[in-house]
Amino acid sequence: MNLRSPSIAIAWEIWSRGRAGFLGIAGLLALGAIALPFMRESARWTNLTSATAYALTAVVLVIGLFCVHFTEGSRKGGFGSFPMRLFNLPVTTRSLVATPMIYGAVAVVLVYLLCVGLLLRHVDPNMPLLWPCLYLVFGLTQFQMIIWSLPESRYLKLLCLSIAASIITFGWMFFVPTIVTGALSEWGYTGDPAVFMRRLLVALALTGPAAYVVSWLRVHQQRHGLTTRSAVFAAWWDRSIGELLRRRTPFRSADHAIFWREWRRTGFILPAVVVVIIGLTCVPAWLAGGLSGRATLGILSWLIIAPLLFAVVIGRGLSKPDFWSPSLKVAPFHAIKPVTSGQWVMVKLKVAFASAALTWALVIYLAFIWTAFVGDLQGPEAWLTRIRFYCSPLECWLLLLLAPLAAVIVTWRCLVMNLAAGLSGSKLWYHSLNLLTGVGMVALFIFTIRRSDGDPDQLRLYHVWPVIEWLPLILTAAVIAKMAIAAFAWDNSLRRGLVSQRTSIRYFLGWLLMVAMLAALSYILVTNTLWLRPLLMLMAVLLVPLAGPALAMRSLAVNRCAA
Amino acid sequence: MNFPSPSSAEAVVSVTSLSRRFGTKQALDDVTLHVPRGCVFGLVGENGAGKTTLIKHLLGLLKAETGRVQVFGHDPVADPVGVLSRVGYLSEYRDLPAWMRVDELLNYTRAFYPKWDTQYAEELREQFGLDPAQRVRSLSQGQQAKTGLLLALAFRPELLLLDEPSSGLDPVVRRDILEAIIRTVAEEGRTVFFSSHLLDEVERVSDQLAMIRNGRIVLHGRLDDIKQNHRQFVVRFEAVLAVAPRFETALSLRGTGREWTLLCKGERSHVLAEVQACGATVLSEQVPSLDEIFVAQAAQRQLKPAA
Repeated sequence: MNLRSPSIAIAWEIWSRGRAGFLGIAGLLALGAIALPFMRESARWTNLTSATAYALTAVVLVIGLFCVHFTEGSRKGGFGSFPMRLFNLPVTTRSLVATPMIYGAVAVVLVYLLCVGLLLRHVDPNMPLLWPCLYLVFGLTQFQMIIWSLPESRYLKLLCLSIAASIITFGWMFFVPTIVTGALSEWGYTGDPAVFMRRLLVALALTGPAAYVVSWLRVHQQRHGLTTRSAVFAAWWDRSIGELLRRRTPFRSADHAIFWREWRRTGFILPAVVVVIIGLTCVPAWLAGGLSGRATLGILSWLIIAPLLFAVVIGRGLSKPDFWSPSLKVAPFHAIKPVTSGQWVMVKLKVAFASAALTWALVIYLAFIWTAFVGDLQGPEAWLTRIRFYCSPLECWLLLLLAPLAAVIVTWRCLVMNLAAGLSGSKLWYHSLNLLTGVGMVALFIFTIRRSDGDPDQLRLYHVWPVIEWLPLILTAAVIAKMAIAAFAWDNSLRRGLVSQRTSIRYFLGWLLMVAMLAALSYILVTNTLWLRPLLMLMAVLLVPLAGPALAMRSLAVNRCAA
Repeated sequence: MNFPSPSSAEAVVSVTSLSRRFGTKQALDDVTLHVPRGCVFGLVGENGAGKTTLIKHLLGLLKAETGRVQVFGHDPVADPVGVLSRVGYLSEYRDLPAWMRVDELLNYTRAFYPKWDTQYAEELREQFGLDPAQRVRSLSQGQQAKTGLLLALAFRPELLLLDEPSSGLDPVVRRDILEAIIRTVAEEGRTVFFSSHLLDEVERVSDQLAMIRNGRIVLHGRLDDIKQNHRQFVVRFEAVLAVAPRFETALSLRGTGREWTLLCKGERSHVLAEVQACGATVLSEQVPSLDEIFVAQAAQRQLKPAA
């Protein structure tokens, strides 16, 4: 291939690296373009059509952003930076930064336009074009700016990414006319909402060039070895926090050493992210002041959902041999350690549990403090009154004890959901499951929004009644299947010497305890719809992983032999 | 191809008919070798010859597709704990966790090996001039190589597997420290298996060696035997030769006109008989260096890839 200019070479690189993703996008768009017209014709499937169109659009956009971000890890640059290998090319820094940024922006805009033309027109023929395009470019360029600008400081980068992610997650609401009008009037804005939105669009359009200028300056500094502020920050961090965290004493055992490593690499992330999210939610709410009972309940609900949501996302990384490494293979340094794969998996499970427990301890503590001092207690009190009405005092105490434990168990489950796939080293298995999880989350998000926007055509319980009728049978079959797979997987792991009998018995007892706690909680919570109780108990059995750890051990053992 | 070697019963490492394919590339092809206890075994070969692939099989990092691998009489894939607790390994890629500090890395690795010798580890750390507070990512390539070597040695493993140990080390460290360590380990009755493309280094420290090319073992045995089995002759013909003469026993042949230098393998008497039969006289005879044998073997394989 004759690449006649550096910009063509970079375009080729973007295409070449993201080829599979681009093909996936083409496939999904084609699938949607064929299926959606048929679905739209059926009146029963209106909700399903819109949910499918939005879910496909979300997945396609995520894949598109993933294909064109143009960042990469390096030994010196930590987990992400501008590709430093390009620094010795005879190209100016201006072009080096501008080329991937412009190509990326054009690509995501094109992907969105294709989504509108092929998918979203079946839902709404007047889909907005300008602000979503600008918003996507904003998201991409901010991401690139953060990663390219802060190669030396992993934690500063994480903090900036968390802030940017929060802004991007909620920022789109400011472009929805009904939300803007309502929110502006609530905040006491007396001007014309249309003028407000125009100003917002101009600001959004300016973020791209601003991100380019910042990136250019920072990449220029890196290219010529100039000391940057983030490098100073990283050095300070290393001298102060790093020294504080430095391990000086020997470990009691190999398990203890692996726990320390897993915690330092992965375990702390969920609590840290959730604390940042709590800060980003509660501090502005505190500054705004005068929160209503409904707003307080809304913020508390978000604080309860956030750990679960982030556990699903962070669980993708936790399930890999190394959270920060793009590779799914076990590094030989770790693969040659004389420990069984079972030991390693068990430690991972413990780290995930400790991470979930610490997260919930922090959430409960901070939410309690915030509600007591800032929030309106009327909302939570009304909620507590309802619980007191339905439950006896003993049940209330049990609820108080079991609810946080159940939250920890569910969060832990979200963290370790893909352990077998992540440790297998198989990119196909791992990414397919991630894609399915992503689609599921988007579908759930859309379903939640659609249910709460007062749409008379929304999904009602009676729509799914035939499924509910079959639910006991389906759940019982699933439990039997789960038990059979678990028996096979544990037997296989025991026979191969991947895990000791003592460990497997201890895990099984722990599993029983967790299932019992969830079952007890569901028993207490369901007070009037008694037929739901056995179903929830079956769900409790399904929720706590039993076969997963044994399958993960087998996956890891295979991965260790494929270095 | 099989070579004379110690029986698999007394060998620390025993590889029998091992083959491995990556896609269309045959990485290992019917490899058989046995490494006796207490010996320094050098594995030489060009880049991509299959040295690292073979070492990964010994560690259980790759499962044998065909053939059998045994280390201390155990299959390293079926019994990783039993094998790996007795093996110290220095990877060619120096894949140490970059985020750890040197002392954290030592403490971390120590937890896996009950026989870890703290005093010895400290001695080596001081000898290598490693700062315990420094992060691995800020170490130079040579310092990382020294750190990796320290980790592989500090629990006094029964088998030391070194994959290109010289890579990144400066000549002084390579010659004075690495070679001394290898000799010390062997004198203690432990076994060293190391791969290298630095033939002078292999020649200085190895008791036995195997030469691997395109995944096949082309030469295997005691170093002295290998060198004794090869001879380099300078021969002179009566007349000027327009084309190179043909010698069945020669691995390589170079020269012009009347004087030619040939490196031969096999019995000395057979070679001399062949030289006389061609009408040439021997001007000088010497034992070739390992480097010369390696180059001759490589040249011969290029001429006869199917051989």
